[in-house]
Amino acid sequence: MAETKDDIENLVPLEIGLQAGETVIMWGLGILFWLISFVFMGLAVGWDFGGFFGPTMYIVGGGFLLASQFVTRWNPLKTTRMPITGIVIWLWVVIFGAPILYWGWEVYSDSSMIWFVVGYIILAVLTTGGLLASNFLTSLKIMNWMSQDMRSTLYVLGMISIIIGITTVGFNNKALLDLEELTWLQWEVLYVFSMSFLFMMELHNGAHRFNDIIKYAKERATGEFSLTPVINSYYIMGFILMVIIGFGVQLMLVINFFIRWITPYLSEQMANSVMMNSVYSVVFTVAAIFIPIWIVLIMWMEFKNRRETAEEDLMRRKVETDTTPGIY
Amino acid sequence: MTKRESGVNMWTKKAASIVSMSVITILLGLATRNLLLIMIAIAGLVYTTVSVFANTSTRLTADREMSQEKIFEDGTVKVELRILNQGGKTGFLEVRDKLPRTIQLKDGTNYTYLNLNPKGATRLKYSIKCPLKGVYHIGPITLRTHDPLNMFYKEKTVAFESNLTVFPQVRDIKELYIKSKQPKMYPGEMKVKMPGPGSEFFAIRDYMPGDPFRDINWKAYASTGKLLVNEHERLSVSDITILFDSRTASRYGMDSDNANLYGARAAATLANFFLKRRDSIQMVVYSDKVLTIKKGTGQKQLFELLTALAGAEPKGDIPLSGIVEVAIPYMPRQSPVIVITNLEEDDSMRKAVSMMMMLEFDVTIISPNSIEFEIMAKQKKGEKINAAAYDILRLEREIMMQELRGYGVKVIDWKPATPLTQILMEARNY
Amino acid sequence: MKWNEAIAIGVAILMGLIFIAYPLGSVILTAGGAISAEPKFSAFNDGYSDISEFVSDVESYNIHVRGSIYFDGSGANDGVYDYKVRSIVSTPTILLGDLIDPENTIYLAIGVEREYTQEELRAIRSFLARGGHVIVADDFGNANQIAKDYGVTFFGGQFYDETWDRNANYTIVEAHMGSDLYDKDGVRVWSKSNPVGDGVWDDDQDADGKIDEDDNTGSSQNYDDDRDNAKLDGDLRDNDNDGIVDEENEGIDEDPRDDDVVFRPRGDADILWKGHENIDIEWIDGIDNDGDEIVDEDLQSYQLITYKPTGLSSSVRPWVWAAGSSKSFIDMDDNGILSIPSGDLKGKNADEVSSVGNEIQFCIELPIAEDGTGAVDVVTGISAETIKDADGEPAKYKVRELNPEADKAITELGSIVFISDPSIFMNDLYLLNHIRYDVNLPFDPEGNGEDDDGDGLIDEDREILRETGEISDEDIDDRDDLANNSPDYWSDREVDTFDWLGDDMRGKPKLDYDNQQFLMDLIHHLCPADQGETNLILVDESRHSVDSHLLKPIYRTMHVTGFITSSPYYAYPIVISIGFLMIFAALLIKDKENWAHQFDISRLVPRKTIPVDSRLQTTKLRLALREKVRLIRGLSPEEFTSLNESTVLSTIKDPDLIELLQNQERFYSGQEILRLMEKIKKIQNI
Repeated sequence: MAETKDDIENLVPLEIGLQAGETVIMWGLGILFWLISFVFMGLAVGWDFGGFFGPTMYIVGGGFLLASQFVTRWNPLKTTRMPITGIVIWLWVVIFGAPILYWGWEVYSDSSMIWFVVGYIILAVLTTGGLLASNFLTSLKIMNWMSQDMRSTLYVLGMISIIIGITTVGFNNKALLDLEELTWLQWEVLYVFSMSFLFMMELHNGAHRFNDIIKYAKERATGEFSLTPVINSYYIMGFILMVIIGFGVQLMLVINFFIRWITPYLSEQMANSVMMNSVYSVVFTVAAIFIPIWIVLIMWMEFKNRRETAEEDLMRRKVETDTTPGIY
Repeated sequence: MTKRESGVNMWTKKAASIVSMSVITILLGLATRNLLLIMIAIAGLVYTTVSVFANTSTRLTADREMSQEKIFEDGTVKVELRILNQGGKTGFLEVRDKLPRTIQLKDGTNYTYLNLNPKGATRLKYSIKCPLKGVYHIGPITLRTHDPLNMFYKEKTVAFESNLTVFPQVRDIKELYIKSKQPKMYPGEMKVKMPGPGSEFFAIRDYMPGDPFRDINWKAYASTGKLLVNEHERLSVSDITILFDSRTASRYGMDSDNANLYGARAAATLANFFLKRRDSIQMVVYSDKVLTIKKGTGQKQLFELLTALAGAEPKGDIPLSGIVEVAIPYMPRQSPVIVITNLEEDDSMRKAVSMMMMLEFDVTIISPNSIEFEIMAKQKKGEKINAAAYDILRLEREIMMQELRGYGVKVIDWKPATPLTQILMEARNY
Repeated sequence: MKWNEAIAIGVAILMGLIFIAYPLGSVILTAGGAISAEPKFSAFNDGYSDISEFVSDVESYNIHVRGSIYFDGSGANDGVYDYKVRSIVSTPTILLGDLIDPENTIYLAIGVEREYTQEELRAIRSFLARGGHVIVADDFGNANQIAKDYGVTFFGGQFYDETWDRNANYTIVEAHMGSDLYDKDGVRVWSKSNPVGDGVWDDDQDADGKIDEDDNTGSSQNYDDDRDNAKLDGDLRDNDNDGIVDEENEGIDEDPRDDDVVFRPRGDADILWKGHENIDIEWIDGIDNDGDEIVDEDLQSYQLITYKPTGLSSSVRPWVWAAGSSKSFIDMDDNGILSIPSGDLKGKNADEVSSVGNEIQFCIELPIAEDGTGAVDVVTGISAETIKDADGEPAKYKVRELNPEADKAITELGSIVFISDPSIFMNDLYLLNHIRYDVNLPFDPEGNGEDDDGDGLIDEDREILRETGEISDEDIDDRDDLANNSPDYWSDREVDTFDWLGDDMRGKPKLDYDNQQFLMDLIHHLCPADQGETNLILVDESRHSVDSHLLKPIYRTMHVTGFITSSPYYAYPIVISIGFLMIFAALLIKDKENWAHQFDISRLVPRKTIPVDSRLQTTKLRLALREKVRLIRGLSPEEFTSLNESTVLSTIKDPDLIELLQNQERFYSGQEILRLMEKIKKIQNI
């Protein structure tokens, strides 16, 4: 018996190829939305990126996203026990997240920068060592969990880089500090930015997902069934859903406007406070909306879960007593 | 029967990652007073929340048809799963007919991604190959729906399973020389090929401890100076007992190579051979419980034996001596007893064997070498092997076999590389 | 009901209470008056004790100064506010972040009712070191928490001075911003032995076209020789009741803040200007409007009306903007009269006494070093290291000079202003601009200038009684505002609101107290209204207690949020640790199982224990050897156990194996075990 295992993940040494034709369009749209989000981020901050680091990270992130659709199958994890891609992701965050922490320290703290640098390096080395040690010595394999195949790793690196870029660009950006000074147009620019960011994320992810399915379908059951209805459904339903999400985000902004409009009637003191006129008020709005929603949702899910389990038990008992098991 | 699909919303990794990202960006956004990050977080949270409500419910009926329900190892079965949508459009639906890990999918797929229209139907055709013996369940059918953005999913199990019994391989062997020293006296016309205590001369071989003195070929001794014994062919119908060890210890090794599997194949082959010769066979399979197949002959008995062997899962820890104590009243005196065991983890082995030898049973032990199975499996997996530790285990096993042989038992050490037929021939040559 | 259902219902009820019942109840109760919300010094309430008038003045600054009114709507920066007022309702720690730009921000703490936490004090220190400006106005509150960082002490006893307005609680304090009683660094130079200066600065007393101190090179001896040498008390009182503080050279631009000309009234208001035509108009816009080479508002002197103030002392030489007279004192023992600090009164209960050249300070400003070491001495420009001792030479700065033209290369430092009375901001006093011609003299009941009560002090010197008038019964009943609770003196007078445009001044008493002007000028002095730039005035409302039950939890939430997201010691560790948790959670969540069938019969099932340990190996080897011997001798286990040990050993010829059996203590390593094993196998052949 020669074969003892299905080798679906072949050890192909760096086979690079484009993904399935059906998903190329998602990838192309994803890149387009990456560009749009970049442009609208620039518009939102009045093209004041606060240096080169932010935009550079954004572009590097875009490059990773682009590459994540090319590389297939080659999985460095298969040939070694080292969680290579996990380490790469971790180090990427450690190295490129450092400038943000550094600037934060510079602004907030009166302590010496030397301490920051020394402290950060020691902490980073210790944490990395700890993560690696935990990986090999205990069952807490964070690095292994972070280790994904090449494609997902590039996707994650891309998203991390873009978020680092956005953090840097928006860090204390004077254009966005005082909400009172933001015009309606600026809000809309921000809205388009966030939605195109979402589209970019979703389309790249969708391309990955459907590529996997198409690949499996082709390997296993050529001609047996067609995935076109599924992909079409994704485009149509996904678009409808995205429109609803877009309305949802707009609604959040409207609620925030409403809250800031109503506060003076509640307390002029609060209405004029620094927090109510800065990012904090948006976050308070988010918290006021989402915390109750999610508490209700989680409770609802829990109740439903319990009801379902009971129903299923009942059904199973019925099935077991059924003498003619056939059609379910 | 129709089952409504309305399971619990489960999180995908994507949804969890997006919520994590949103929370992190909100905190980071506050710490860096960064409206861009907060906007992203809002988008991410709305995205997740809306998706909770975007999932669909499905009403499906399914039916499965299999070409065969009982096959031998390496046999192929064709399966067809018919799915009919009785609800609305299914949206993003995954259907899978669950297969055990040890079954190989040859053609087609047991898993697909569907978007069925109302009243739409589809069928999944696939064929499977079963390389290992066992009693398998095909199914249940699992259904999974998720929202278009793949954030939450609901899973549903339709508890509809079909059984598939895979018999151990039966090899064809020409002749095997294990027969009862005491032919069984059948009432009625049952013929004994060569009656009488005498026996047809078959061959001369080396004397081994335990051989009765009367079998010594003194002539040959005189001429060669070596103790040689006559072997006799006894063509009489006899009762043969097979004791099959299916304890936990028998699974050491790999799924595809272990004492349980090899032993079952040996037992099946032997049973087939004896039954063809119209011998009568009884079998005891002991694992966490004892399964006794009563004496019998013919195809029906073979079928029963094979079913028992297929279902013999490595489990439990019953000592052999207990089995022997219970089984002795049912075993005709001096009849052949074949014990198939890897001799692992059973302290009662000596006691059991000496008990049988005292009652003059013709005991043969076919012992698949679990130590070697394990070493081979580890080598295949590239795992480190502690040579000294395994050497000690080997030494212990050797001493054990030596002792058993001392009682006059035929003990055959079966290493993984040795083919089944050769082992059985060895038993014959013994 | 199962326990988890009970918990879920409990949570639901709790959430309902928190999100619906509580706010609704609070609103209803507050509206119904069951809960009264009456904070003091609130920027957005207009009670007598609030500061809304001050706040609205600040907010409308540019409209007054260079908005459309004065520039006929053609101002370059119409609509751009010079000052924007925001409150802090959470915590001053948000000063730490980037939310505000310190250099264009004034943090105002008026009445420090609530204590600062260490992190908040650190935030203020950091804010100052980064160039921010702070005004701390307090009397008997917690201001010393901040003050001690800069070598300043709020005495905490009531401040009395020889001038008051009818009632000794309403002490009148003279403020100067740029008077020649102070040198160009703002340090008071006037003393008995060196009586230089006349209380005003921008006076061209010798009419030579140059103001007196023009050639001041820093030494008080180099004042314009041509001074008028007028003997002035430095009290800036208009003793001759001509509406102008009395000097011999009245009529010259000697006291532009002399009450009546802040802004030129429009239209036919000229009647007021009779006799004052040659007084230059001084605009408080930070520009030298009259072309006299000195920014106009450098020249202000003010009379402030206070209510029960306290005093300040500073260990570092500050710019003193207001101080008591040489006859003022702090009543530390709270008995209403001066207790001479001698004998048993020495110590903490002894009153603090002003002396000539060492007056009790009322309003001071200290520049703050950029390196976070605290206050800078305004004379030397060297950091006094009031916060911590640093190694090496303390930093030296070129501190701001009062005449910005004198040295352009000044270092713009942050600064902190201490005012020992928050009441000057209160609506009631802020707008109390009525004229006082007859400033009361110190209390001398007999009016004979002698020591009538035999306490060793001439009566009028420093004896001050708390009240000179009586509070009417109506006022006791009606405690609406401060003025009404005062002696009837004010209640029957018409108290005008100050009119910036001056239109309503005609026919009414001239206004004399300058709280409004002083505070406006102070704000402007700290953060000049540069064109096209908006300065932020942060009123710290979190120092006052909140009475509203609706706002309390909201403010508390804002406080916590602001606190944990502002300090780097909290914000980033929290972001990182919560980030870790979230990533963990995301990693731990099992993704949808991949349903593609994976055939695998290569799974390894090893035995649970293999003898890896060399001790165990040796023990097993020993047992194996015994078994072997038993087999060779053909014995049953029972027979073997009864066998003599020496017989066993005699079977084994090999000394190594004998040692293995004999020496139970010895354990063998891997190589030795392999060697012994070979030997055991060989025994078979014996």
